[in-house]
Amino acid sequence: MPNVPTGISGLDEILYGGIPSGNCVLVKGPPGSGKTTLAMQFIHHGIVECDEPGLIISFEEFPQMVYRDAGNMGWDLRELERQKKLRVMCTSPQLIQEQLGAREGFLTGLMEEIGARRVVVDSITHLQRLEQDPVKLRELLVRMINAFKREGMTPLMIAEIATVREGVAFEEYAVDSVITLSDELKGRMSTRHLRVVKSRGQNFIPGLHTFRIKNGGLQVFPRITAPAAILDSQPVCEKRDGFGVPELDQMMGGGVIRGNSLLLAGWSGSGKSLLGLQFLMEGSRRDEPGLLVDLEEHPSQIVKNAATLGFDLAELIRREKVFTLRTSPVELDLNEHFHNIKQLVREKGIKRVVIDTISNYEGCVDDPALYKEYIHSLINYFKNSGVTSVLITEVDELLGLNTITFHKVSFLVDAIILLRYVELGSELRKALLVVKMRGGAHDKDIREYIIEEKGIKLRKIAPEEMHTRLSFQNYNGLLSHTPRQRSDHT
Amino acid sequence: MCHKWQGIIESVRDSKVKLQLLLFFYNNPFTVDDLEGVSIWVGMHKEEIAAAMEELCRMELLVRHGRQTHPYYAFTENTELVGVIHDLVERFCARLRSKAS
Repeated sequence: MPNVPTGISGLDEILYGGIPSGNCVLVKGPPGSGKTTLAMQFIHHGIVECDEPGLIISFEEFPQMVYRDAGNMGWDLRELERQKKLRVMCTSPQLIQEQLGAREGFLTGLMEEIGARRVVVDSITHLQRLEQDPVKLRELLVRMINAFKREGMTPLMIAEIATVREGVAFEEYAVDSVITLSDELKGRMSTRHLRVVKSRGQNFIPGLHTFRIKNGGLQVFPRITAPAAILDSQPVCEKRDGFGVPELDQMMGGGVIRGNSLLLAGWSGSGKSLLGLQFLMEGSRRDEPGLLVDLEEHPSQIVKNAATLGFDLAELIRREKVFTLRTSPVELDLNEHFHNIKQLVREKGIKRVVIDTISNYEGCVDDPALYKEYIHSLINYFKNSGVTSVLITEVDELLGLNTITFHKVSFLVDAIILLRYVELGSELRKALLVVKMRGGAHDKDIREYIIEEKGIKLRKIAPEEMHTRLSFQNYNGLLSHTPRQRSDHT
Repeated sequence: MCHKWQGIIESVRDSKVKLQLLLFFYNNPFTVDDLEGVSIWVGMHKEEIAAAMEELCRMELLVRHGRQTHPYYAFTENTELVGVIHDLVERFCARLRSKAS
């Protein structure tokens, strides 16, 4: 039997399509956690998208308030009632109990009149008004569930709880699927969570998923799962995506292999963001749409910075050759962020992504393992989608390459470019090194680069300049803080 | 408006309990509940609304279902009557609003 889609963005993804037909779903959560909104969305979607009329039975909330709240979400329930596709009724548990036993009561008549296929009971906690004994209460609930199932309906029951940490209640055993909603306060920020605790007859993504309630209802962001690293048919491509910096691309055998990930690590002010930008500019020149995921500066600032170097980023954004995704690290939720990236990649046909900087993700996770898992998931997602990614990270002046980001991410990525300062004589100069390049040979020289109009350029000291300018070739230990002149050049 | 409805309106207009009950059923037209349940919804004692509920049923503004020993009530489905109730409710609400201001 096909699954019944809930119509809730993200939840159907977690349930691999929806709820198995005939399953009774329990949605439980503390006050204000979004239970009724989820239920209304389930009913509304059933009517509008699946031609499955619905019935909402309320034991406490006035239908007129249900209409109002639904209206705020953009759902006109009164209109659906006029079309005889919905009934929002308020009644009491004792009457429902009596009616469910009767073959020809008003409830059966109502369900037949509109041909109801989905029913919401808000909430079963009110059954306690009829019965206090847990055994009898369970019997009462099971009878109610079976009566709806007998009529071929998919019931969704709402239950109120004080906190999600309460023990397993009897109703969780009586139903087929259990979804909990919660609202967690972290510092001053509140994060909503959804969890599918059980769902008979189907597989689902376990764990805590985040969600938001906005106009249009709940939007669930499935948690980042352990990456499906090895797909049966992972795309393999020999094409190279260059930076548009000829000497650098040459060092990398033409550029980053399509679909691979590159970690661009460097000291503050070394030109990481600029090189990332050049990667996107070069992509747009080749008609490869790019995405700049920016976690630090406002896009307008980036546009301004780019303009000072002669890049018309604003025009590329206007022409939809480059897209930007700006998220404040303070408000960052990794599940939602990942969802937004995937959506842009899918909808805009993105071929190149730059994330500036991945160090910002660290502050969003309590568990360092999750950070690594997230980066791993991102890299694998890009690889499976044939998107070449440049992940920018800042390297601390004091810690050098021992920073957490570098330490945890360096073995996940396919290639690494390191940018850093080198003190030579009385000058502070910039050095670039391709540290790692999976799947191809690369130039292992430490090269000097300069930042000028139109971006980064690699520099080679001409033989005739050698006597006036110190060349990197003449030194050992350039990446240490104390380069030494080679003895054969003294 | 026919004479029959006119009499009903006058009867309801003079009773605050009947008006409150009618307002509740008008705003929540698919309510089906017994006396106990309705008393909770409208926040009045059962004894206070019992007679008014029966009278509204006699006027056909509400419909009585179920057993004699345990009746339950629903809003009328007569569209003409619903129109009359609409006008009545509008006037009642306007009165409430002006009182509040």
